[in-house]
Amino acid sequence: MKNRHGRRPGPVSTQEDVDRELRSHLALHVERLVAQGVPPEEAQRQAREAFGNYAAISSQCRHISEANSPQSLANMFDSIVADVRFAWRTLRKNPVFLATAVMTLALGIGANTAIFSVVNGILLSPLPYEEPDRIVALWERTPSGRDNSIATANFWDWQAQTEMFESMAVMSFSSSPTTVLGGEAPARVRTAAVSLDFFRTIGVQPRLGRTFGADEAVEGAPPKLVVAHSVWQDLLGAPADLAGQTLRMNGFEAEVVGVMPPGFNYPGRSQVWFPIELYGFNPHRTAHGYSAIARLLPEVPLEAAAEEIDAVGAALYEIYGDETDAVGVNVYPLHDELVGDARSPLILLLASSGMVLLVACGNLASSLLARGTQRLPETALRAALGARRGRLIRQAITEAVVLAVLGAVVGMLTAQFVTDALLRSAPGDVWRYASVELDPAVLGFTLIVALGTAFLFGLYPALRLTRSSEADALRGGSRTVAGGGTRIWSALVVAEVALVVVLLTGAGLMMRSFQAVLDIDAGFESTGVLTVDIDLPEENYADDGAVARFLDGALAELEALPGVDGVGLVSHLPLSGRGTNGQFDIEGREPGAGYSDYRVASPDYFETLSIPLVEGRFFEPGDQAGGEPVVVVNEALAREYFGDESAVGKRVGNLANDNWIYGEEWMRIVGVVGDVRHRSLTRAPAKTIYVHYRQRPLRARTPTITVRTTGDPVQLVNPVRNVFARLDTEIPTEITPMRDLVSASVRDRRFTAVVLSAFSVMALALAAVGIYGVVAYAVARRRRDIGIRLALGAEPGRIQHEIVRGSLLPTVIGLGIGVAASIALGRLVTGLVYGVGTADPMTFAGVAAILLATAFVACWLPARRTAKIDPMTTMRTD
Amino acid sequence: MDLLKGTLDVLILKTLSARKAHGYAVAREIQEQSGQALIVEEGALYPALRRLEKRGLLRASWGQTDTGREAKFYALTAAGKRHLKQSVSDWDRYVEAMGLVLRGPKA
Repeated sequence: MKNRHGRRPGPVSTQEDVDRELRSHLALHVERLVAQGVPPEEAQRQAREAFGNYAAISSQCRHISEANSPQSLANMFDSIVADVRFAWRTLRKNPVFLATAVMTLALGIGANTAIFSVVNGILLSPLPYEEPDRIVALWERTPSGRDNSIATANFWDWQAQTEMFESMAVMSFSSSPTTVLGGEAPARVRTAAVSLDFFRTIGVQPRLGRTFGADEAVEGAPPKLVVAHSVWQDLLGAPADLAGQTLRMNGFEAEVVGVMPPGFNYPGRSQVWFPIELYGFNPHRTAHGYSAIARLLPEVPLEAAAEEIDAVGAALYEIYGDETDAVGVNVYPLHDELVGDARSPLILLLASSGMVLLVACGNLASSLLARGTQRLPETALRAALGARRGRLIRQAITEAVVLAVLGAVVGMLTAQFVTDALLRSAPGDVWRYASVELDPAVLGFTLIVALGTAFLFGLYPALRLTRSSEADALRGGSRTVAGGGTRIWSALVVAEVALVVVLLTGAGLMMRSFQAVLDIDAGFESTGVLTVDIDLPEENYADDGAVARFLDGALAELEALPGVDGVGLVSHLPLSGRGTNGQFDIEGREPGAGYSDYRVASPDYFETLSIPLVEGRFFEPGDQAGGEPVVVVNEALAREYFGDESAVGKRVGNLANDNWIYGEEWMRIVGVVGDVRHRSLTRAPAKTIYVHYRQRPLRARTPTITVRTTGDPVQLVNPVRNVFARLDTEIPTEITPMRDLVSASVRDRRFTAVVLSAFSVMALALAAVGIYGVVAYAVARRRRDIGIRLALGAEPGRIQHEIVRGSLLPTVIGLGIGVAASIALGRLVTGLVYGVGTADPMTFAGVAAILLATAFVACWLPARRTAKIDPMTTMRTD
Repeated sequence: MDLLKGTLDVLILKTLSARKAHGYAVAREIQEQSGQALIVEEGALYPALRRLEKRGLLRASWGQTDTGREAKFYALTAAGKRHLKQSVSDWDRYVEAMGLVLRGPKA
């Protein structure tokens, strides 16, 4: 027993205080005994004997003094720091567990946050315009109830006759770029003609300069332009002052009056805006092709305004009858218009990432449980030695929190990384409409889910321990786990497997759809073809002769290049997103009986793209300007209008797509060619008429030249560019291998398939790790039993067999549940799937095979270890 | 004789009402004052002292005995004094009630 004299400096821990007091008691007792004449050693012995159970009393005193003691802030901080240090030391002792747990958390948190931020940014966030929920899109409604693009004559009446809208605007834009000159280099930009109130309606102000004035938005006024930020930067050289800045397009010089903020490109990714009023008033109420938007007055609900404008539309129909084909007006929020198509795939991705998160949590839960139960004896010992239940729980919590914080930090880094990767490889224009940032709310939610799991399952063992008696736990060694524990494991495995099955099925369906789309016969060959988009400015190529001469020369020069197999041209290339269509007359039928796509082509065009000739002939050198007008049609058109009869020899005329230039003359069908998928690979081919460029040159002023090469098309890019530079320096050219265009058209599908597959692989890996862990833990738990059985002569093979079988049962159950869930959920994604049914047996078979194989390996590996169990050692240690 | 449950606290408070004392002294005092009838075990004494301190009825401080040994001394707080008074009054009433039941009303 130590003698202490005087006080120790600084705050004293409760334990020390208790010890001091009790020892002081003993000392005083000894002192008294000695004073009564008892010899010192005898006195000490008596005193100690009389004292009782020192440890128990000390412990009890400590508990009393410590319970709910309002510790000073410094004390509390100290003990928290001590707990954290202790937790960190414990975690570090098992690095495999630590790494697995952190990575699992990181994956779940990271992937989920990233996807959700992106989805949130696109689907759920408001548009980057002022008060975007008040902007609506307007469409004409046809008698059959469908949306139709607008005729301006109708629009002006709507604008004049409605009162519930703050402003309205009509727009015309196309995805075909226009040549713009006068800047630092000739360029092709997308232009939009917009009415006066456009900028006010969309709610975005120019960053520099102004928008059009009322006097500039009239027919005959000198044209003014508002340009996009990129145009201002690249074409104008980013001048701080717009005075005197002009650009030349469509044959006239226009002054630039305003610059829009960076990123603004509505509608249709436009880069230059000019007043639509410059075109003058078009009285035709069937001259469709325009779009309109409107801004609701504040406080006016959409339904009321929609009703009003619909009534106006209906009234116009009453008045104008045949002149208009719009029976009313359909109104939609602009947000839906812009993101509509992207909704389904994004939601699919969101659901998938949620599933990955769940699987990750499941793994985390199971490994925490395993660890906690494994440490039950150790924990029980600590409790017996005086650790209070509250203390134990606090330490368990601290461990879970440290783990969770680590996982969260790595998770946030992962989230940032994944978001960047997603945005960089993202398809589609709609992704650029949104400003996507890592959403703190999403991060918070994901953190809560993941940390919640860590908490719950980290606490569970500590809670269980304090319920059962400590002595029991000690006595039972490592066999204390009650039967209820096994059920949790099985449930976790079942749940994880089910989730993985759903994910794998989804990925499988997306992949097969993607493959199916790639397998589509598009009707043309894109390998080895180089495409050149050119734009002949109106001012230099104002008549047939000029255009035809240029095109003749270009085709000839290109054909002469080495490595070139054939050269053609077409007004609108398949899968370019551009096209035009219109009515025509068929000889012998009532006027306007025909309607089809309209293309201008050269004789060799079909061969460059390997479009087959079905009947008759292609265009030939004999077909000249001034000669008999000829057309070539496709199979779809021939079938629809002429059935089993041959289309060759029949005549069509009065093509709406060129009759205002070339009149209504009859043209003879000389050949039928194969169908081509034009709009997209998955849309059926449309009826098409091809006219000869020499007979309709003015309609081929923005053609695409197709160059078939013998080798790699990319190698001819420069020679081709040089040809055009030689012919005319003021013509911008855009050169792309056709394969890239085809590939771009399936970008969305590919993206969804790839991301979904990545998620499934992640989830599968996680689940495999989870199953492995569960089985390994089961084996470890039953080492004694296995050891005994081995000692009694059982074959290792049989034991392994048993273990694997037992662990595969929950897997199979999970598989069944997963398949059922996939079938049920399949109905929701029919829109995204192409070429396969959503309950496709082959996909399920593949998924089942992959899953069972993985699960089998995950079960078998740890089961193999049983063979290495030495019966002697297991029975000795324990 | 075993102490009735809950009575140790009152005894401690009473003992300390006279003057400050350390735990050992309190135990001895109770023992002597009761004519050796009530023996207070350390296992009961010290937890009780600490409980009373936590409840704010006692105030503790380290000091030295007259023989120069260090010991933890306890003293009544104002609340302790009030509690003692109430407890004594409760005890008297309890004893009277028990007496009435056990021996019948006094003549």
